[in-house]
Formats: sequence, C-alpha cells, structure tokens
Amino acid sequence: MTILNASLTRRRPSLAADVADLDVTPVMNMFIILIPFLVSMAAFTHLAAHHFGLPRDEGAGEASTASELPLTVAVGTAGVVIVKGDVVLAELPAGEDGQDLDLLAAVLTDQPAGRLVLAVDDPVGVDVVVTCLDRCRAAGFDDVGLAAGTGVTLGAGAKP
Amino acid sequence: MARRRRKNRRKDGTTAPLRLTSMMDILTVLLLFLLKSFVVEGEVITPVPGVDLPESSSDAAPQASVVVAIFDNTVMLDGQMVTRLENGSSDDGLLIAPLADRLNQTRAKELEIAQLRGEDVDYSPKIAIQGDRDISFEVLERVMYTCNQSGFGDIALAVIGAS
Repeated sequence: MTILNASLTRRRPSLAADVADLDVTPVMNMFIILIPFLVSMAAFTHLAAHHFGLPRDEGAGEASTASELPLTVAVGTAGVVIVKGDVVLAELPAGEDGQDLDLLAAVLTDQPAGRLVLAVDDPVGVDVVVTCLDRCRAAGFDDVGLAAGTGVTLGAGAKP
Repeated sequence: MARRRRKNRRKDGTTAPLRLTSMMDILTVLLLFLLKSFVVEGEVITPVPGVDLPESSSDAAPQASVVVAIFDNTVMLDGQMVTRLENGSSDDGLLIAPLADRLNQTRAKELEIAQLRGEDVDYSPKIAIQGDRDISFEVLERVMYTCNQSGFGDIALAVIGAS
C-alpha cells in the first residue's frame, strides 16, 4: 500500500521537457524560395516528336508503276482514301465533325504492316496530319512517308 | 512583432508553438516531385510562346536542334521572326527564300563550330518544326521543303506527347 501510494503521488515528468523543440524556420524559408522557383521552371507538358528523314533533291528518279506503289493513304478535306497499288481499299468520307480517323485505324489494322505513304492535300490541317500519323503507327506501320497529295476525290472505290 | 508575441502567449504565460510538421511534409513531397520531374523530363526544346502544338500519341523524344516555329503564317527561327507567308504559292514555288537564307547561315555557323570541336565528320544538321495545329499542310510542306533544300534533312515535327 505504501508502494502504491508512492507511485501515485510521484510527479510525472513534464511533456514539454521531453519534446525537443526543433526550429524548422530556416528549412521553411528555403522551401518557400525553392518551390516557387522550381514550379516556374517545371514543364507540365511533355514534348514529343515525329521524326522524318528527307532525301536530298537529286532530280526525278524512275517512276514506279501503280502495282509497285506501297499502301497509300490520301487525306483530303473531302475524306480519306486508302489505296494499295491500283486498288482502292476504302473510302472514308469526312463528316460534319471532320475526318473519321478511327475508321482509318480499323481499316489499316487489317492490312499487313510495311511501308505506307501519307499523301496529304494542301488545305488539310496539321493536327489532322499528326492524328493520321498516330493512327498509321498504331496500326503497325512504323515506316510512314509523308507526301503532298493531288486532291482527294471520292466515289471511285469501295466503302468499308 | 511584440503584439504578435503577445497574441501567441497564453493566459498562463506559456507560448503556443506553431505546428509546422504537416506543412513540412507537403513541401518535402512537392520538392521531391519537382526535382524528379526535372530529372526525368530533360526537355531539349522549349515550346515557342504562341504556338499551340498538336497532340499526339508519339513518345519519341525530340533532339536538341534548330527550332522553326510556324503560327498565323509567321515563320520564326530560333525565336526570331523570319518572314510572314502570304496566302497561296509564291514565285519561288515551295521554297521560302528568307528562311532558306537564315538556315544556310545557321548551318554554316554550326558546321564551323563542329569543325572547331573536331566533330565535323559526324555533323548532321537537325531541325525541329513547331507548327501550330491550325496551320495548313501547305505551309508545313513549304517549310519542310525549304529545310531540306538548306541541308536540314533530319526533321522532327514537335507535338505534345501522350503522357
């Protein structure tokens, strides 16, 4: 009983005396200067690129016959035409919302991977060209050439 | 300052300490995130202000190179305006003469530097084109043609990456 009384009456050490008071003010100051500086320099958009290797202009070479031509995707304001050799594989007319490039990817997926030429008409926007490049590469065509188109006209071939 | 000290002082005379631990945690995580983004990204070309790049699923990294920016029919080379393209084709066909002149000068300078460094054998001029998403393919075609005619055959078309 005496022992119990002694333990009850013993003064508990002060909590404040146990906790070391760490002064974080200099660290806070450093953070407050460093973080706005880093945020102002941080890049929140990731830049990527489509690489092209253009040949030197060495005059006109031998013209390929239609059957030797690789798979060609002609992109115009009227729509997209996919041609292999001299056969029109698919015609994708443009809708009110623009080109149906998801359908382009679906058609290209059925074709064996290899070389592909993207022939683009002058008025077509760069964002459409980049999306076409993406669709072609997603369908397995890594070797994509870019060419100037001569005007897409629909109604000559198959529709998917 | 004295008034603030008086405010923080309790009635019994003790001072209420400001708990900064949670704020320190947030700032530490933020700092680590920012430092990591610097290490991983390693941007080699900077987006030109005013150019709204098209989005793409490509993840190919752009290379350090000369940058041609095109927006609103304006052509810029390394941040300096070169020319404004008029609608329709010019007398030179696809070639943009002012851009070709500037590119030839740039290539000559780069070649000179490469020779001084002894790297002229491996020198291959590279160029990055930052084209606004609203420009037509005709403009891009003319710029690419001009770059190729000036010896910049290794062309990267800059886009906003997927990640």
